[in-house]
Amino acid sequence: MEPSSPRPAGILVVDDRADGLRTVSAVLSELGERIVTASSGQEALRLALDEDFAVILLDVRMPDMDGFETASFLRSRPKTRHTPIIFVTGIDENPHHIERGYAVGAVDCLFKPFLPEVLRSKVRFFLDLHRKTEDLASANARLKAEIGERKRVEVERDRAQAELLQGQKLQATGQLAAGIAHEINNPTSYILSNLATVREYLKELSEHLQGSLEEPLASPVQGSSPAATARHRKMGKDEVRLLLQDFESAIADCLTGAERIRNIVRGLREFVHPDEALLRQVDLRQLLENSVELCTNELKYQVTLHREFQDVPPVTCFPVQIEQVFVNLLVNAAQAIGNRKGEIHLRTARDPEGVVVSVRDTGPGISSENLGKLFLPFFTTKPVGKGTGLGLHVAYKIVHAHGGRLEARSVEGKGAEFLVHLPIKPGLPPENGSGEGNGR
Amino acid sequence: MKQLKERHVVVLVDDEPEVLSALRRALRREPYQVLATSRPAEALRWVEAIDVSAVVSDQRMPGMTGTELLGRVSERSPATMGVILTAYGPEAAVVPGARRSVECIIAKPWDDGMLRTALREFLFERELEDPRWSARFDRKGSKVF
Repeated sequence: MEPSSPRPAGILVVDDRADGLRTVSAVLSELGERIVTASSGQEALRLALDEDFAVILLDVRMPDMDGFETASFLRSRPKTRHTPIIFVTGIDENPHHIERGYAVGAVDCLFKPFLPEVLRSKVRFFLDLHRKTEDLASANARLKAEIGERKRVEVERDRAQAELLQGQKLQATGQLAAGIAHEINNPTSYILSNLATVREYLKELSEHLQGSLEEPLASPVQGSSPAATARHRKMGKDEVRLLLQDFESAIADCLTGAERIRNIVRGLREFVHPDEALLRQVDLRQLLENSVELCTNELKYQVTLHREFQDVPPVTCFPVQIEQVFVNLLVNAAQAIGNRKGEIHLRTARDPEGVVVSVRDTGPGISSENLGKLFLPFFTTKPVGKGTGLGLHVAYKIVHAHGGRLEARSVEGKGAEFLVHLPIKPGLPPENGSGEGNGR
Repeated sequence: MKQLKERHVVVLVDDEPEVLSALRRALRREPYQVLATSRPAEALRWVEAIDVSAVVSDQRMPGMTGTELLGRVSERSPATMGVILTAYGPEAAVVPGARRSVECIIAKPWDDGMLRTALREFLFERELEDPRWSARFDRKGSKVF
Protein backbone atom coordinates (compact mmCIF):
# COMPACT_ATOMS: atom_id res chain seq x y z
CA MET A 1 0.00 0.00 0.00
CA GLU A 2 1.37 3.36 -0.95
CA PRO A 3 0.47 5.89 1.65
CA SER A 4 1.30 8.76 -0.67
CA SER A 5 -0.99 7.80 -3.59
CA PRO A 6 -4.50 6.64 -2.80
CA ARG A 7 -4.98 5.21 -6.32
CA PRO A 8 -1.87 3.43 -7.63
CA ALA A 9 -0.81 4.48 -11.11
CA GLY A 10 -2.12 2.06 -13.70
CA ILE A 11 -1.14 0.85 -17.16
CA LEU A 12 -2.37 2.57 -20.31
CA VAL A 13 -2.79 0.30 -23.31
CA VAL A 14 -3.28 1.99 -26.68
CA ASP A 15 -4.41 0.06 -29.77
CA ASP A 16 -6.90 0.86 -32.50
CA ARG A 17 -8.00 -2.74 -32.68
CA ALA A 18 -10.24 -4.15 -30.00
CA ASP A 19 -8.75 -7.64 -30.13
CA GLY A 20 -5.26 -6.22 -29.60
CA LEU A 21 -6.50 -4.37 -26.52
CA ARG A 22 -8.20 -7.48 -25.24
CA THR A 23 -5.10 -9.66 -25.68
CA VAL A 24 -2.80 -7.27 -23.88
CA SER A 25 -5.31 -6.59 -21.09
CA ALA A 26 -5.76 -10.30 -20.55
CA VAL A 27 -2.03 -10.89 -20.29
CA LEU A 28 -1.52 -7.99 -17.90
CA SER A 29 -4.55 -8.67 -15.71
CA GLU A 30 -2.42 -11.21 -13.88
CA LEU A 31 -0.32 -8.35 -12.46
CA GLY A 32 -3.33 -7.13 -10.54
CA GLU A 33 -2.83 -3.51 -11.60
CA ARG A 34 -5.39 -1.17 -13.02
CA ILE A 35 -5.51 -1.29 -16.77
CA VAL A 36 -6.87 1.58 -18.85
CA THR A 37 -7.40 1.20 -22.57
CA ALA A 38 -7.50 3.72 -25.39
CA SER A 39 -8.40 2.99 -29.00
CA SER A 40 -6.70 6.02 -30.54
CA GLY A 41 -3.74 8.34 -30.08
CA GLN A 42 -6.06 11.25 -29.18
CA GLU A 43 -7.85 9.26 -26.52
CA ALA A 44 -4.51 8.11 -25.14
CA LEU A 45 -3.32 11.71 -24.90
CA ARG A 46 -6.48 12.80 -23.13
CA LEU A 47 -6.25 9.98 -20.61
CA ALA A 48 -2.55 10.43 -20.02
CA LEU A 49 -2.94 14.12 -19.31
CA ASP A 50 -5.76 13.34 -16.92
CA GLU A 51 -4.05 10.82 -14.70
CA ASP A 52 -0.71 9.23 -13.91
CA PHE A 53 0.38 5.99 -15.57
CA ALA A 54 3.29 3.84 -14.59
CA VAL A 55 3.78 2.79 -18.19
CA ILE A 56 2.11 3.26 -21.60
CA LEU A 57 1.91 0.43 -24.13
CA LEU A 58 1.61 2.08 -27.51
CA ASP A 59 0.70 0.36 -30.76
CA VAL A 60 2.77 1.81 -33.57
CA ARG A 61 0.38 1.34 -36.40
CA MET A 62 -2.82 3.30 -35.84
CA PRO A 63 -5.00 5.41 -38.20
CA ASP A 64 -5.07 9.24 -37.88
CA MET A 65 -2.39 9.59 -35.24
CA ASP A 66 0.11 6.79 -35.25
CA GLY A 67 2.29 5.63 -32.36
CA PHE A 68 5.21 7.85 -33.23
CA GLU A 69 3.07 10.94 -33.38
CA THR A 70 1.35 10.04 -30.11
CA ALA A 71 4.70 9.46 -28.42
CA SER A 72 6.00 12.85 -29.63
CA PHE A 73 2.96 14.54 -28.15
CA LEU A 74 3.33 12.67 -24.86
CA ARG A 75 6.98 13.66 -24.65
CA SER A 76 6.17 17.31 -25.31
CA ARG A 77 3.84 17.56 -22.28
CA PRO A 78 5.47 18.08 -18.87
CA LYS A 79 3.05 15.70 -17.16
CA THR A 80 3.89 12.79 -19.45
CA ARG A 81 7.45 13.69 -20.38
CA HIS A 82 8.91 10.93 -18.22
CA THR A 83 6.19 8.32 -18.45
CA PRO A 84 7.83 5.20 -19.89
CA ILE A 85 6.47 4.21 -23.31
CA ILE A 86 6.73 0.70 -24.74
CA PHE A 87 6.13 0.46 -28.45
CA VAL A 88 4.25 -2.55 -29.61
CA THR A 89 5.08 -3.43 -33.20
CA GLY A 90 5.07 -6.34 -35.63
CA ILE A 91 8.18 -8.47 -35.85
CA ASP A 92 8.14 -8.00 -39.59
CA GLU A 93 8.36 -4.23 -39.34
CA ASN A 94 11.11 -2.33 -40.95
CA PRO A 95 14.02 -2.04 -38.45
CA HIS A 96 13.96 1.65 -39.24
CA HIS A 97 10.67 1.78 -37.36
CA ILE A 98 12.31 0.63 -34.20
CA GLU A 99 15.00 3.25 -34.51
CA ARG A 100 12.38 5.96 -35.01
CA GLY A 101 10.41 4.65 -32.04
CA TYR A 102 13.39 5.09 -29.69
CA ALA A 103 14.05 8.50 -31.24
CA VAL A 104 10.61 9.83 -30.32
CA GLY A 105 10.93 8.62 -26.74
CA ALA A 106 10.18 4.93 -26.43
CA VAL A 107 12.10 3.18 -23.69
CA ASP A 108 11.41 -0.32 -24.89
CA CYS A 109 9.99 -2.28 -27.74
CA LEU A 110 7.76 -5.30 -27.90
CA PHE A 111 7.34 -7.38 -30.98
CA LYS A 112 4.13 -9.03 -31.92
CA PRO A 113 3.40 -11.81 -31.51
CA PHE A 114 4.81 -11.71 -28.03
CA LEU A 115 5.24 -14.17 -25.20
CA PRO A 116 2.87 -13.18 -22.38
CA GLU A 117 5.62 -13.60 -19.79
CA VAL A 118 7.87 -11.19 -21.70
CA LEU A 119 5.15 -8.54 -21.75
CA ARG A 120 4.40 -8.99 -18.07
CA SER A 121 8.08 -8.89 -17.19
CA LYS A 122 8.64 -5.64 -19.05
CA VAL A 123 5.56 -4.03 -17.59
CA ARG A 124 6.40 -5.30 -14.09
CA PHE A 125 9.80 -3.68 -14.40
CA PHE A 126 8.26 -0.27 -15.14
CA LEU A 127 5.67 -0.70 -12.45
CA ASP A 128 8.48 -1.34 -9.94
CA LEU A 129 10.41 1.60 -11.26
CA HIS A 130 7.37 3.82 -10.89
CA ARG A 131 6.73 2.61 -7.37
CA LYS A 132 10.34 3.20 -6.41
CA THR A 133 10.30 6.64 -7.95
CA GLU A 134 7.19 7.44 -5.98
CA ASP A 135 8.72 6.08 -2.78
CA LEU A 136 11.73 8.24 -3.36
CA ALA A 137 9.61 11.29 -4.07
CA SER A 138 7.58 10.79 -0.91
CA ALA A 139 10.74 10.15 1.10
CA ASN A 140 12.09 13.36 -0.34
CA ALA A 141 8.96 15.24 0.62
CA ARG A 142 9.16 13.78 4.13
CA LEU A 143 12.77 14.83 4.39
CA LYS A 144 11.94 18.30 3.18
CA ALA A 145 9.15 18.53 5.72
CA GLU A 146 11.50 17.26 8.40
CA ILE A 147 14.13 19.81 7.49
CA GLY A 148 11.47 22.51 7.52
CA GLU A 149 10.26 21.29 10.89
CA ARG A 150 13.81 21.16 12.24
CA LYS A 151 14.44 24.68 11.01
CA ARG A 152 11.21 25.82 12.60
CA VAL A 153 12.23 24.13 15.86
CA GLU A 154 15.64 25.78 15.66
CA VAL A 155 14.13 29.19 15.08
CA GLU A 156 11.69 28.53 17.93
CA ARG A 157 14.51 27.41 20.19
CA ASP A 158 16.63 30.45 19.34
CA ARG A 159 13.67 32.67 20.07
CA ALA A 160 12.96 30.87 23.35
CA GLN A 161 16.60 31.15 24.32
CA ALA A 162 16.65 34.84 23.46
CA GLU A 163 13.54 35.27 25.58
CA LEU A 164 15.14 33.36 28.42
CA LEU A 165 18.25 35.50 28.24
CA GLN A 166 16.07 38.58 28.21
CA GLY A 167 14.13 37.05 31.11
CA GLN A 168 17.32 36.40 33.00
CA LYS A 169 18.35 39.96 32.39
CA LEU A 170 14.99 41.12 33.64
CA GLN A 171 15.21 38.87 36.66
CA ALA A 172 18.72 40.06 37.42
CA THR A 173 17.45 43.59 36.96
CA GLY A 174 14.54 42.80 39.26
CA GLN A 175 16.81 41.46 41.98
CA LEU A 176 19.04 44.44 41.54
CA ALA A 177 16.02 46.73 41.61
CA ALA A 178 15.03 45.43 45.06
CA GLY A 179 18.58 45.96 46.25
CA ILE A 180 18.70 49.38 44.64
CA ALA A 181 15.40 50.37 46.23
CA HIS A 182 16.96 49.45 49.57
CA GLU A 183 20.08 51.43 48.76
CA ILE A 184 18.05 54.48 47.82
CA ASN A 185 15.54 54.20 50.65
CA ASN A 186 18.22 54.38 53.33
CA PRO A 187 19.74 57.72 52.37
CA THR A 188 16.31 59.06 51.44
CA SER A 189 15.05 58.26 54.91
CA TYR A 190 17.74 60.18 56.73
CA ILE A 191 17.72 63.05 54.24
CA LEU A 192 13.99 63.54 54.77
CA SER A 193 14.22 63.14 58.52
CA ASN A 194 17.19 65.51 58.75
CA LEU A 195 15.45 68.11 56.61
CA ALA A 196 12.43 68.00 58.92
CA THR A 197 14.74 68.44 61.90
CA VAL A 198 16.68 71.22 60.25
CA ARG A 199 13.46 73.11 59.59
CA GLU A 200 12.69 72.91 63.32
CA TYR A 201 16.21 74.05 64.12
CA LEU A 202 15.71 77.01 61.84
CA LYS A 203 12.45 77.88 63.57
CA GLU A 204 14.06 77.63 67.00
CA LEU A 205 17.02 79.71 65.91
CA SER A 206 14.87 82.42 64.39
CA GLU A 207 12.73 82.55 67.51
CA HIS A 208 15.90 82.88 69.51
CA LEU A 209 17.12 85.70 67.25
CA GLN A 210 13.73 87.46 67.38
CA GLY A 211 13.95 87.35 71.15
CA SER A 212 17.41 88.85 71.05
CA LEU A 213 16.28 91.62 68.68
CA GLU A 214 13.29 92.60 70.80
CA GLU A 215 15.27 92.81 74.00
CA PRO A 216 18.76 93.67 72.86
CA LEU A 217 19.86 95.27 76.15
CA ALA A 218 18.50 92.76 78.57
CA SER A 219 20.90 90.45 80.31
CA PRO A 220 20.35 86.75 79.62
CA VAL A 221 18.91 86.09 83.08
CA GLN A 222 16.62 89.10 83.32
CA GLY A 223 15.73 88.90 79.61
CA SER A 224 13.85 85.70 80.14
CA SER A 225 10.79 87.48 81.40
CA PRO A 226 7.72 85.22 81.39
CA ALA A 227 6.14 87.16 78.52
CA ALA A 228 9.20 86.95 76.31
CA THR A 229 9.69 83.27 77.04
CA ALA A 230 6.16 82.54 75.98
CA ARG A 231 6.63 84.05 72.54
CA HIS A 232 10.33 83.65 71.94
CA ARG A 233 12.16 80.82 73.56
CA LYS A 234 15.62 82.13 74.11
CA MET A 235 18.38 79.62 74.26
CA GLY A 236 21.54 79.61 76.27
CA LYS A 237 24.90 80.00 74.51
CA ASP A 238 25.77 76.31 74.85
CA GLU A 239 22.42 75.30 73.52
CA VAL A 240 22.83 77.54 70.49
CA ARG A 241 26.33 76.21 69.88
CA LEU A 242 25.20 72.57 70.05
CA LEU A 243 22.23 73.28 67.83
CA LEU A 244 24.40 74.97 65.21
CA GLN A 245 26.86 72.09 65.34
CA ASP A 246 24.16 69.53 64.82
CA PHE A 247 22.60 71.72 62.13
CA GLU A 248 25.84 71.49 60.22
CA SER A 249 26.25 67.76 60.65
CA ALA A 250 22.62 67.14 59.65
CA ILE A 251 23.24 69.08 56.44
CA ALA A 252 26.49 67.17 55.88
CA ASP A 253 24.61 63.88 56.26
CA CYS A 254 22.03 65.07 53.75
CA LEU A 255 24.79 65.83 51.27
CA THR A 256 26.39 62.41 51.80
CA GLY A 257 23.04 60.74 51.27
CA ALA A 258 22.16 62.71 48.17
CA GLU A 259 25.56 61.90 46.67
CA ARG A 260 25.02 58.23 47.36
CA ILE A 261 21.69 58.36 45.55
CA ARG A 262 23.27 60.21 42.66
CA ASN A 263 25.97 57.56 42.30
CA ILE A 264 23.47 54.73 42.39
CA VAL A 265 21.32 56.39 39.75
CA ARG A 266 24.37 57.10 37.62
CA GLY A 267 25.32 53.43 37.68
CA LEU A 268 21.75 52.42 37.07
CA ARG A 269 21.30 54.65 34.06
CA GLU A 270 24.20 52.97 32.29
CA PHE A 271 22.86 49.58 33.24
CA VAL A 272 19.32 49.82 32.02
CA HIS A 273 19.28 52.47 29.34
CA PRO A 274 19.02 50.76 25.96
CA ASP A 275 19.67 54.01 24.10
CA GLU A 276 23.11 54.03 25.55
CA ALA A 277 23.84 50.54 24.30
CA LEU A 278 26.45 51.94 21.93
CA LEU A 279 29.98 50.96 21.21
CA ARG A 280 32.08 53.35 23.24
CA GLN A 281 35.59 53.84 24.55
CA VAL A 282 35.52 53.41 28.27
CA ASP A 283 37.78 53.10 31.25
CA LEU A 284 37.13 49.61 32.61
CA ARG A 285 37.96 50.77 36.14
CA GLN A 286 35.11 53.26 36.01
CA LEU A 287 32.82 50.54 34.65
CA LEU A 288 33.90 48.28 37.52
CA GLU A 289 33.12 51.03 40.05
CA ASN A 290 29.67 51.46 38.50
CA SER A 291 29.07 47.73 38.77
CA VAL A 292 30.23 47.70 42.38
CA GLU A 293 27.84 50.56 43.12
CA LEU A 294 24.99 48.58 41.59
CA CYS A 295 25.84 45.54 43.69
CA THR A 296 26.41 47.43 46.96
CA ASN A 297 23.51 45.67 48.53
CA GLU A 298 24.92 42.24 47.68
CA LEU A 299 28.42 43.16 48.77
CA LYS A 300 28.32 45.41 51.78
CA TYR A 301 27.41 42.96 54.52
CA GLN A 302 29.79 40.04 54.18
CA VAL A 303 32.31 41.17 51.63
CA THR A 304 35.48 43.21 51.94
CA LEU A 305 36.37 44.59 48.55
CA HIS A 306 40.00 45.01 47.46
CA ARG A 307 41.03 46.89 44.37
CA GLU A 308 44.32 46.43 42.56
CA PHE A 309 43.88 48.63 39.53
CA GLN A 310 46.80 48.91 37.16
CA ASP A 311 46.66 51.59 34.49
CA VAL A 312 44.88 50.17 31.48
CA PRO A 313 44.10 51.78 28.15
CA PRO A 314 40.48 52.61 27.37
CA VAL A 315 38.61 49.72 25.82
CA THR A 316 36.10 49.98 23.00
CA CYS A 317 33.05 47.97 23.99
CA PHE A 318 29.34 48.01 24.70
CA PRO A 319 29.61 49.44 28.22
CA VAL A 320 26.13 48.30 29.24
CA GLN A 321 26.94 44.73 28.35
CA ILE A 322 30.38 44.69 29.91
CA GLU A 323 28.85 46.20 33.03
CA GLN A 324 26.41 43.34 33.09
CA VAL A 325 29.35 40.92 32.89
CA PHE A 326 30.94 42.59 35.93
CA VAL A 327 27.64 42.68 37.81
CA ASN A 328 27.04 38.99 37.10
CA LEU A 329 30.56 38.10 38.24
CA LEU A 330 30.26 40.25 41.38
CA VAL A 331 26.87 38.82 42.32
CA ASN A 332 28.21 35.34 41.63
CA ALA A 333 31.23 35.97 43.86
CA ALA A 334 29.07 37.44 46.62
CA GLN A 335 26.74 34.45 46.46
CA ALA A 336 29.72 32.08 46.57
CA ILE A 337 30.86 33.78 49.77
CA GLY A 338 27.31 33.54 51.08
CA ASN A 339 26.77 34.20 54.76
CA ARG A 340 30.39 33.87 55.79
CA LYS A 341 32.75 36.82 55.78
CA GLY A 342 34.82 36.95 52.65
CA GLU A 343 36.87 39.01 50.28
CA ILE A 344 36.53 39.94 46.65
CA HIS A 345 39.62 41.13 44.82
CA LEU A 346 39.14 43.25 41.72
CA ARG A 347 42.17 43.57 39.50
CA THR A 348 42.81 45.26 36.17
CA ALA A 349 45.97 44.80 34.14
CA ARG A 350 47.36 44.86 30.63
CA ASP A 351 47.40 41.53 28.90
CA PRO A 352 48.81 40.15 25.62
CA GLU A 353 45.19 40.08 24.40
CA GLY A 354 44.47 43.66 25.48
CA VAL A 355 43.15 44.15 28.99
CA VAL A 356 42.30 41.68 31.70
CA VAL A 357 39.86 42.21 34.55
CA SER A 358 39.92 39.70 37.35
CA VAL A 359 37.18 39.07 39.91
CA ARG A 360 38.48 36.75 42.62
CA ASP A 361 36.55 35.59 45.67
CA THR A 362 37.48 33.74 48.83
CA GLY A 363 34.41 31.52 48.66
CA PRO A 364 34.42 27.72 48.69
CA GLY A 365 35.69 27.49 45.10
CA ILE A 366 34.53 25.26 42.28
CA SER A 367 35.19 21.55 41.85
CA SER A 368 37.19 20.61 38.76
CA GLU A 369 34.16 18.64 37.62
CA ASN A 370 31.96 21.73 37.70
CA LEU A 371 34.64 24.03 36.35
CA GLY A 372 34.08 22.66 32.85
CA LYS A 373 30.32 23.22 32.99
CA LEU A 374 30.28 26.71 34.46
CA PHE A 375 29.40 28.54 31.29
CA LEU A 376 26.77 26.11 30.05
CA PRO A 377 23.29 27.58 30.04
CA PHE A 378 21.19 26.51 33.02
CA PHE A 379 24.13 25.08 34.90
CA THR A 380 23.81 26.05 38.53
CA THR A 381 24.89 24.71 41.88
CA LYS A 382 22.54 27.01 43.71
CA PRO A 383 19.34 25.68 45.25
CA VAL A 384 16.17 25.76 43.18
CA GLY A 385 14.89 29.30 42.85
CA LYS A 386 18.19 30.87 43.82
CA GLY A 387 19.98 30.90 40.50
CA THR A 388 18.85 30.62 36.91
CA GLY A 389 22.15 29.17 35.75
CA LEU A 390 22.30 31.87 33.12
CA GLY A 391 24.40 34.55 34.78
CA LEU A 392 27.77 33.12 33.82
CA HIS A 393 26.47 31.92 30.47
CA VAL A 394 25.36 35.45 29.64
CA ALA A 395 28.70 36.83 30.79
CA TYR A 396 30.49 34.27 28.64
CA LYS A 397 28.44 35.13 25.55
CA ILE A 398 28.93 38.87 26.00
CA VAL A 399 32.69 38.56 26.42
CA HIS A 400 32.95 36.33 23.35
CA ALA A 401 30.84 38.71 21.29
CA HIS A 402 33.46 41.34 22.14
CA GLY A 403 36.19 39.10 20.76
CA GLY A 404 37.37 38.40 24.27
CA ARG A 405 37.64 35.40 26.54
CA LEU A 406 36.12 34.53 29.91
CA GLU A 407 38.21 32.19 31.97
CA ALA A 408 37.50 30.53 35.30
CA ARG A 409 40.14 29.27 37.68
CA SER A 410 39.57 27.61 40.98
CA VAL A 411 41.08 25.30 43.50
CA GLU A 412 38.29 23.73 45.51
CA GLY A 413 38.28 25.18 48.98
CA LYS A 414 40.41 28.13 47.97
CA GLY A 415 38.03 30.44 46.16
CA ALA A 416 37.52 31.15 42.50
CA GLU A 417 38.83 33.64 40.02
CA PHE A 418 37.14 34.81 36.86
CA LEU A 419 39.27 36.51 34.23
CA VAL A 420 37.71 38.71 31.59
CA HIS A 421 40.14 39.15 28.73
CA LEU A 422 39.06 41.95 26.42
CA PRO A 423 40.73 43.27 23.29
CA ILE A 424 41.30 47.03 23.13
CA LYS A 425 38.96 47.05 20.17
CA PRO A 426 36.54 44.21 19.55
CA GLY A 427 37.46 42.07 16.59
CA LEU A 428 40.91 43.65 16.18
CA PRO A 429 44.19 42.19 17.33
CA PRO A 430 45.72 44.21 20.16
CA GLU A 431 48.25 46.81 19.11
CA ASN A 432 50.98 46.93 21.65
CA GLY A 433 52.01 50.39 22.68
CA SER A 434 49.22 52.34 21.01
CA GLY A 435 46.50 51.48 23.43
CA GLU A 436 44.74 54.78 23.05
CA GLY A 437 42.96 53.91 19.81
CA ASN A 438 41.68 56.53 17.44
CA GLY A 439 38.05 56.68 18.37
CA ARG A 440 35.61 56.27 15.53
CA MET B 1 -0.06 63.92 72.97
CA LYS B 2 0.04 61.18 75.58
CA GLN B 3 2.11 62.04 78.64
CA LEU B 4 4.46 59.31 79.75
CA LYS B 5 5.18 58.81 83.42
CA GLU B 6 8.67 57.45 83.18
CA ARG B 7 11.80 58.44 81.36
CA HIS B 8 12.11 55.41 79.08
CA VAL B 9 15.29 54.07 77.58
CA VAL B 10 15.02 53.70 73.79
CA VAL B 11 17.73 51.83 71.90
CA LEU B 12 18.38 52.55 68.20
CA VAL B 13 20.19 49.99 66.02
CA ASP B 14 21.23 50.55 62.42
CA ASP B 15 24.44 49.79 60.56
CA GLU B 16 24.40 53.22 58.95
CA PRO B 17 25.59 56.00 61.28
CA GLU B 18 23.68 58.62 59.28
CA VAL B 19 20.43 56.80 59.98
CA LEU B 20 21.25 56.67 63.68
CA SER B 21 21.98 60.43 63.76
CA ALA B 22 18.73 61.20 61.97
CA LEU B 23 16.74 59.00 64.38
CA ARG B 24 18.43 60.65 67.35
CA ARG B 25 17.47 64.05 65.98
CA ALA B 26 13.90 62.92 65.38
CA LEU B 27 13.62 61.84 69.01
CA ARG B 28 15.58 64.71 70.57
CA ARG B 29 12.52 66.40 72.06
CA GLU B 30 11.00 63.14 73.23
CA PRO B 31 11.18 62.23 76.92
CA TYR B 32 13.53 59.29 76.35
CA GLN B 33 17.05 58.43 77.11
CA VAL B 34 18.25 57.45 73.63
CA LEU B 35 21.10 54.99 73.12
CA ALA B 36 22.32 54.30 69.60
CA THR B 37 24.58 51.63 68.18
CA SER B 38 25.50 50.14 64.83
CA ARG B 39 26.18 46.74 66.44
CA PRO B 40 23.24 44.47 67.30
CA ALA B 41 25.35 42.64 69.88
CA GLU B 42 25.88 45.86 71.79
CA ALA B 43 22.14 46.49 71.85
CA LEU B 44 21.66 43.04 73.37
CA ARG B 45 24.20 43.79 76.10
CA TRP B 46 22.32 46.99 76.95
CA VAL B 47 19.05 45.08 77.15
CA GLU B 48 20.69 42.64 79.57
CA ALA B 49 22.20 45.40 81.70
CA ILE B 50 19.40 47.95 82.02
CA ASP B 51 15.67 48.36 81.60
CA VAL B 52 15.16 49.11 77.94
CA SER B 53 11.61 50.10 77.03
CA ALA B 54 11.95 49.97 73.26
CA VAL B 55 14.39 48.82 70.60
CA VAL B 56 14.12 50.41 67.15
CA SER B 57 16.16 48.30 64.75
CA ASP B 58 17.05 48.21 61.08
CA GLN B 59 16.11 44.92 59.43
CA ARG B 60 19.17 44.21 57.32
CA MET B 61 22.42 44.44 59.23
CA PRO B 62 25.68 42.53 59.14
CA GLY B 63 25.65 39.46 61.35
CA MET B 64 22.06 39.63 62.51
CA THR B 65 18.72 40.71 61.06
CA GLY B 66 16.46 43.08 62.94
CA THR B 67 13.86 40.37 63.56
CA GLU B 68 16.56 38.07 64.94
CA LEU B 69 17.74 40.81 67.23
CA LEU B 70 14.24 41.61 68.48
CA GLY B 71 13.59 37.89 69.02
CA ARG B 72 16.60 37.74 71.33
CA VAL B 73 15.61 41.00 72.98
CA SER B 74 12.19 39.65 73.86
CA GLU B 75 13.75 36.46 75.28
CA ARG B 76 15.75 38.62 77.66
CA SER B 77 13.15 41.29 78.26
CA PRO B 78 9.61 40.34 77.16
CA ALA B 79 8.18 43.76 77.99
CA THR B 80 10.53 45.62 75.67
CA MET B 81 8.80 47.00 72.63
CA GLY B 82 10.33 46.07 69.27
CA VAL B 83 10.15 48.28 66.19
CA ILE B 84 11.58 47.25 62.82
CA LEU B 85 12.71 49.82 60.31
CA THR B 86 13.10 48.36 56.85
CA ALA B 87 14.14 49.79 53.51
CA TYR B 88 12.73 46.73 51.69
CA GLY B 89 9.08 47.34 52.38
CA PRO B 90 7.17 45.95 55.36
CA GLU B 91 6.80 42.40 53.98
CA ALA B 92 10.57 41.92 54.18
CA ALA B 93 10.46 41.85 57.97
CA VAL B 94 7.51 39.50 58.29
CA VAL B 95 9.08 36.19 59.17
CA PRO B 96 7.59 33.29 61.14
CA GLY B 97 7.91 33.85 64.87
CA ALA B 98 8.62 37.54 64.46
CA ARG B 99 5.13 38.64 65.39
CA ARG B 100 5.57 38.11 69.08
CA SER B 101 8.69 40.20 69.35
CA VAL B 102 7.98 42.85 66.72
CA GLU B 103 5.42 45.38 67.81
CA CYS B 104 5.51 47.43 64.69
CA ILE B 105 7.17 47.59 61.28
CA ILE B 106 7.96 50.99 59.81
CA ALA B 107 9.09 51.35 56.20
CA LYS B 108 12.01 53.56 55.32
CA PRO B 109 11.83 56.41 54.56
CA TRP B 110 9.97 56.83 57.82
CA ASP B 111 7.95 59.84 58.90
CA ASP B 112 9.40 61.44 62.04
CA GLY B 113 5.96 62.28 63.44
CA MET B 114 4.65 58.77 62.87
CA LEU B 115 7.69 57.22 64.49
CA ARG B 116 7.34 59.49 67.54
CA THR B 117 3.62 58.79 67.84
CA ALA B 118 4.09 55.04 67.47
CA LEU B 119 6.68 54.97 70.25
CA ARG B 120 4.62 57.17 72.54
CA GLU B 121 1.40 55.25 72.04
CA PHE B 122 3.02 51.91 72.64
CA LEU B 123 4.96 53.04 75.69
CA PHE B 124 1.83 54.70 77.09
CA GLU B 125 -0.17 51.48 76.64
CA ARG B 126 2.63 49.51 78.16
CA GLU B 127 2.72 51.75 81.22
CA LEU B 128 -0.98 51.13 81.68
CA GLU B 129 -1.01 47.39 81.02
CA ASP B 130 2.29 46.01 82.04
CA PRO B 131 2.26 44.89 85.67
CA ARG B 132 6.00 45.39 85.80
CA TRP B 133 5.60 49.08 85.07
CA SER B 134 2.44 49.45 87.16
CA ALA B 135 4.16 47.82 90.13
CA ARG B 136 7.02 50.22 89.86
CA PHE B 137 4.68 53.16 89.54
CA ASP B 138 2.81 52.08 92.62
CA ARG B 139 6.04 52.02 94.51
CA LYS B 140 7.11 55.39 93.18
CA GLY B 141 3.56 56.72 92.98
CA SER B 142 3.59 59.02 95.96
CA LYS B 143 6.84 60.57 94.79
CA VAL B 144 5.74 61.17 91.23
CA PHE B 145 2.37 62.71 91.86
